[in-house]
Amino acid sequence: MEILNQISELLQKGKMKDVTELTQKSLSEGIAASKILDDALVKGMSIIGEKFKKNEVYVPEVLIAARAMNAALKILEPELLKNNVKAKGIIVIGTVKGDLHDIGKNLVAIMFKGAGFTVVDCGVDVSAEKFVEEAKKSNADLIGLSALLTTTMVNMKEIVTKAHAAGVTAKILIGGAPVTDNFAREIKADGYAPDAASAVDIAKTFLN
Amino acid sequence: MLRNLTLTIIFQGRKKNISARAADNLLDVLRKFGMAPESPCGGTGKCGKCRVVTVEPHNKKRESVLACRIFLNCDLIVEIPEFNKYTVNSGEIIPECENKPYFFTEEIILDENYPVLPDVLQKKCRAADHKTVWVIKKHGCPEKTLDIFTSRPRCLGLAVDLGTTTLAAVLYDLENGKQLSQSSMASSQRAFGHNVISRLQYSLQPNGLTELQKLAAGDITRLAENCCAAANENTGDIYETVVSGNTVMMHLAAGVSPETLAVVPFSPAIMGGNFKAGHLGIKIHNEAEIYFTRAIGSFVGGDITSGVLALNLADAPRPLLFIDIGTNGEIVLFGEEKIFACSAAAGPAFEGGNISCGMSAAGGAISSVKLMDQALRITTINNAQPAGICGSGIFSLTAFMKEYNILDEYGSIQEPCFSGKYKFLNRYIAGSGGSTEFIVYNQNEKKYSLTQKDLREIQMAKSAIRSAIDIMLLSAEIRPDDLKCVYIAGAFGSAIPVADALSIGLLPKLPPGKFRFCGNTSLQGSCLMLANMALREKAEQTAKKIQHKEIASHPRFQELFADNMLF
Repeated sequence: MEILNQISELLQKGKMKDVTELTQKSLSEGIAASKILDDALVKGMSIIGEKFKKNEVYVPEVLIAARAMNAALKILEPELLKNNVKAKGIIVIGTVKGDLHDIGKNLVAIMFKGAGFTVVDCGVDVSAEKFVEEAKKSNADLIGLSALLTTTMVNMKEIVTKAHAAGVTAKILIGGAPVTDNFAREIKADGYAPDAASAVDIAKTFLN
Repeated sequence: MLRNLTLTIIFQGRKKNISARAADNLLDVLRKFGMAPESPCGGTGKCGKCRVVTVEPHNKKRESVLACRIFLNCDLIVEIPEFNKYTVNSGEIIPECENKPYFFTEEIILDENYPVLPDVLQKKCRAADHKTVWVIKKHGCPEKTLDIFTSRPRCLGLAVDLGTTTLAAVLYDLENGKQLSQSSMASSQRAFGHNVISRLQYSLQPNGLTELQKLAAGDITRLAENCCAAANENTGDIYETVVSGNTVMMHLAAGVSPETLAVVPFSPAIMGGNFKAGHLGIKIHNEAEIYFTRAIGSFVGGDITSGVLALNLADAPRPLLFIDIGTNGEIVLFGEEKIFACSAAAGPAFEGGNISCGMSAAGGAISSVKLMDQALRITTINNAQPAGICGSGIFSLTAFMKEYNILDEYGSIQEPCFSGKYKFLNRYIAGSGGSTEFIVYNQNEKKYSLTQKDLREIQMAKSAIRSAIDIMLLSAEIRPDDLKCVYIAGAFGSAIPVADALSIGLLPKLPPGKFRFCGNTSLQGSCLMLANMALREKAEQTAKKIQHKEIASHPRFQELFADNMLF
């Protein structure tokens, strides 16, 4: 549908005002909220995510696009709730204890939100207990852990161990500058994502 | 067993052979020998600044390569480019104050009445068989005697701004408070990344701290030497050095591990204090004291305390804002009652780092651009041949691009499709899609431009600082309009036009008369603390009153950070 493509294009450029206007217009033209979400917002964000992965766009563009996405989501949310549209999955996400870096974690949260997931963002400096508690409370499908420092990355192990001990079944996905695939295996996390867009791709394989 | 290789390094006009092993990383090897090129990204292959020329001796094959990407497999000749010489700071204007330093010279007539001197000194006096001697003393309880002389000694002091990317110093005659000379230089730690986090990470590696401490001590020694050479003095006559720097740099220079700054709640291991020059390997008088200006908290260091003193903000009309724009941006908000400070990870973009054609504010740096007769006119520092774009040039260019709609509000460089009156602008724009660039200079096979990627770096730096300002005002419930004055410091603090900074949204919109550009206030304050004990005490007291605030965890930070990306 032309209007949805238009929203997707404008979203990628970060044009918040145009995106919200056209989202409103699409709803009043009778297009289902879930269709607008999938074919305009999710589509636009996944294109941005792909480009980010390939270094064709940088952090500012992702944040600006997300700003437009959030504004449009606000319009769609009441409709989605009314129609009982289910989220693609639930992810509990946060930066691990001792670490206050949140740009990377926020980008991952944005990508998941953009892919139609419900995101429970625990913020930064999050303890193992908090991750376990939030995962149980929200019945999460996934837990996403972020760390930017070699000194805080080690705290991921404790979280994985405690989550397993507490019987949490959510798959645990880790990422951040110093994190590697090997490290993920070593601490028995379920997966490692090198960037925000890949995190969503990997998460989807867990859910299928 | 890995093969041993020989590298012939051509560095600062000298040739030196060093040995290395096959598979060693070239940048690591160069760092070990103190001959590394700048490496803003810390050797991760991202910034492209550690470029060196390698020549294979057997076939003379010349190649321009990134040192951090090279793993050695044969003997090589390596040519290292010189650091940008940093010249802007010489000529810093230092506020005047009464001369009452900690260190002073006292003349002593040795007679029966004279009280007992410390043993070592007594021996020295008797040996010299002199009737009159001079001692260098430090005020305090008790007074401390540092050295004794048989002729009137010189008593000098050095004030230092220990920056992440550059250092600057002023040499003082403590006898009369006269300024003798100034000097500045690029930090030798540049090879270990341009920001404090990469330095911090490096210091956590085995021997990392020792290595970085040595470099910092060497830099301070070099500044002392340069200042003394210019004033015809001896470094051995320097009895005190006041050093103001951010917390990470202070830890590194003092040889104290900054590991606690790597994790929440980012508390410094030391807040400041006195160290012995001899212990730190700073080659001035061996007993000389190195005073590190008291830090405020977390990443907000003594350089900010020093700036607050230099501008006498404790007694200025409130509310007021003090912003130090450097690799790390620091902001201090003086509210009616409370004082808050925070740091914003701006990155080195405003100092020319992570910018493809970026450079420090040295001769040849493009510092501003304007339009004349349908053509771009650039100004360079010292009117030298263009060599790159410095911080003020980055402001000027970005503001220019915005004014003429070459840059849209989202930070994208427009493709060259201007028509009518501004058609001529098309020739300054090249590329398409995500790889457009705005070319400011393209002559004699030299091309300087701002690329789309550069603009993204600028966008992040700008938003980091602006969002920090917004959060500070929000949490103190102060409206921008209420501010009596906004003081701006930084290496280029005196060189950025208000209009440009306002136009790109770095600063809140206020009447231009409310902004004051103050230059290197860290150096200015160091001078005051060196020359006057009471002012040093005052700075310490003020620093204790300033509360550090973590802004990244503020609930509105993320939203503002995205909003402020817009131009």
